[in-house]
Amino acid sequence: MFEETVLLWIAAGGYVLAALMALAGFKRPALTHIALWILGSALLIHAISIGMRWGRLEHGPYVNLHEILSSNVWSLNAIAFVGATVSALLRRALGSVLGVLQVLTLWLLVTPVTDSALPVTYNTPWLPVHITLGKIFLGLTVIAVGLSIAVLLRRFAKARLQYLPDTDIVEEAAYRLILVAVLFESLMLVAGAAWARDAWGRYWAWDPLETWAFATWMSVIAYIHWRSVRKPRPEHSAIAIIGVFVLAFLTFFGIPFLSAAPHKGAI
Amino acid sequence: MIDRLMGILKLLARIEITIALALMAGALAIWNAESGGGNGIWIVAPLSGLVVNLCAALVSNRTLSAQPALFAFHVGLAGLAIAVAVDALTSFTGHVEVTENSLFDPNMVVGVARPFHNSRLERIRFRQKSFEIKYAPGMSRRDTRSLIEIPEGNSWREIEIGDDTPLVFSPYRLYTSFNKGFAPIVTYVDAQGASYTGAVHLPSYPLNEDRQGNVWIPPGSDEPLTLWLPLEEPLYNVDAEWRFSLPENPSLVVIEQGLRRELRPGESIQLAEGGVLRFESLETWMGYTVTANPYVSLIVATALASLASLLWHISKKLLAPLGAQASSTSRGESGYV
Repeated sequence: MFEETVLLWIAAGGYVLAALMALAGFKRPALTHIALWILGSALLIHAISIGMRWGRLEHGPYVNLHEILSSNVWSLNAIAFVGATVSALLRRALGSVLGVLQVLTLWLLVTPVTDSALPVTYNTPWLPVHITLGKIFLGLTVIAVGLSIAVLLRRFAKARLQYLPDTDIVEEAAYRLILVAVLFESLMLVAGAAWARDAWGRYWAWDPLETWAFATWMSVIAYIHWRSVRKPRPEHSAIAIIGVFVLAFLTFFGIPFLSAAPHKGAI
Repeated sequence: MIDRLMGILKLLARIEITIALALMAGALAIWNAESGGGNGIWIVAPLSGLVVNLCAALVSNRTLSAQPALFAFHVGLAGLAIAVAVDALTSFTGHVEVTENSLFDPNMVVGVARPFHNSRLERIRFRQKSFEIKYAPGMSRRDTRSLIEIPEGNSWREIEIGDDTPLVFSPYRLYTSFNKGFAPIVTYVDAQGASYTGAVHLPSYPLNEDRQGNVWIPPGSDEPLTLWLPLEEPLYNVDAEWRFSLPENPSLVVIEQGLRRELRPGESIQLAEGGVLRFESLETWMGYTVTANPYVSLIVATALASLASLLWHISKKLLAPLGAQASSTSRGESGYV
């Protein structure tokens, strides 16, 4: 357990350093490449830490708060890494994406590291499918938030963000990410319903997590309708995306630990 | 006439109506969940409204009808709402307790059947054999394994069901629940010599470990008996692993008109009204949840069709070069992307 924690702290340090480098990359784009190398190394170290814990406890990192935070910090950084590797636009906006993610990194570091037992109804192939789809949804939303923050920051620090494309294009990229995100969120809900049917004999029971997940889906759909029909200003669209993310964040990291229903993160 | 009809449809298709109905459906669903699941039928009303709202949009919104993928997605959503409404009208949720070494009795199922649920509980046939429930230290419930026998031809076949391995007698699915407990088997012989043997289920253990008693009225009698299972101390150690099991050397306390008598297995007592009560043995009972969603395949089909259409629509949008949309549609102009 000691080795896992040490590796986790090294990875967390890497994440913070990568974020600082990527933020500096707004002014000197060459630093963004260094940030990507640091981020890739941190992801590798973090993956080893998660793998060691997985092997020791014989279940994936999705039961208690530490595990959920740790796996999400990894997956969200990994999605940001892949996005920045394949897309020049996302690479240029990496600073704001990684900046957002450091909130989770800091939360992870102050969360007690405790062992967990896998609840019996979590032993189903639908669970990793459900969780993976959810992580991809949240990862795409985080990148869209990073782009949205860049859109908003442009009003105050245009010179610093000069390497980013036109604001309309950055906002449209964020919107497209949300379009893809809603597909993954919908798939997540369907996979979750299949799991619930397998585990408890009901596909949907409006437990707090299901209710908030549905509210999040509705908020994404509402944003897409509003953005499509009204064509708002990029800044307004960016604020709406951040609002959707806040709701998704509360659903992923707040509700599972407040509810007493079976479908909760900490049992 | 057609213009007037289109005007009405456009009114019915307004997004404000969609939002209001969706919020109403959500509120009703939460109310249903909070009130124990007996009010789910009311969700049919806003869902029906949403279907009307969506169908009106499909007919009156030219932007929608001009984009086949988007149109198909919204048709799929309407279909999904119909499927969920059908499920809300035809589903069943209940629970049942089955005594060890006894046959499942459909009359003992307690539940909520929706108005159009065609009850076929008599299809379910199984005999409860032994079961095993493990607890990790800290009384954290772990695996549940229940051995049952199901009919196969002219004989019975033993199978194991458990936490997420249900017994399926279509459309019913039976899952082991956290409920289980002790069941004294008693034989009552009335004054005329008629003999009745049955089980009296005591409250779930260890959830109700301090209330291991139940009131029972013997057949043909109007004198209630209180039956207690005296447990001097818990059957488990909180700090150690434990398996749900019968107490050693059990006895049964019978309280009749304030008179307390204790029986060991095989012992009998004469009751005041003339009958005889014999404590045969102490067995266990296993709790099951019983659910039925006869049209769940309709929900799966419409959900997958909607998702496929959404994928089709989004992939078309993503194939357009970034920036083309920003230049082709001015702000404030109506249009789906």
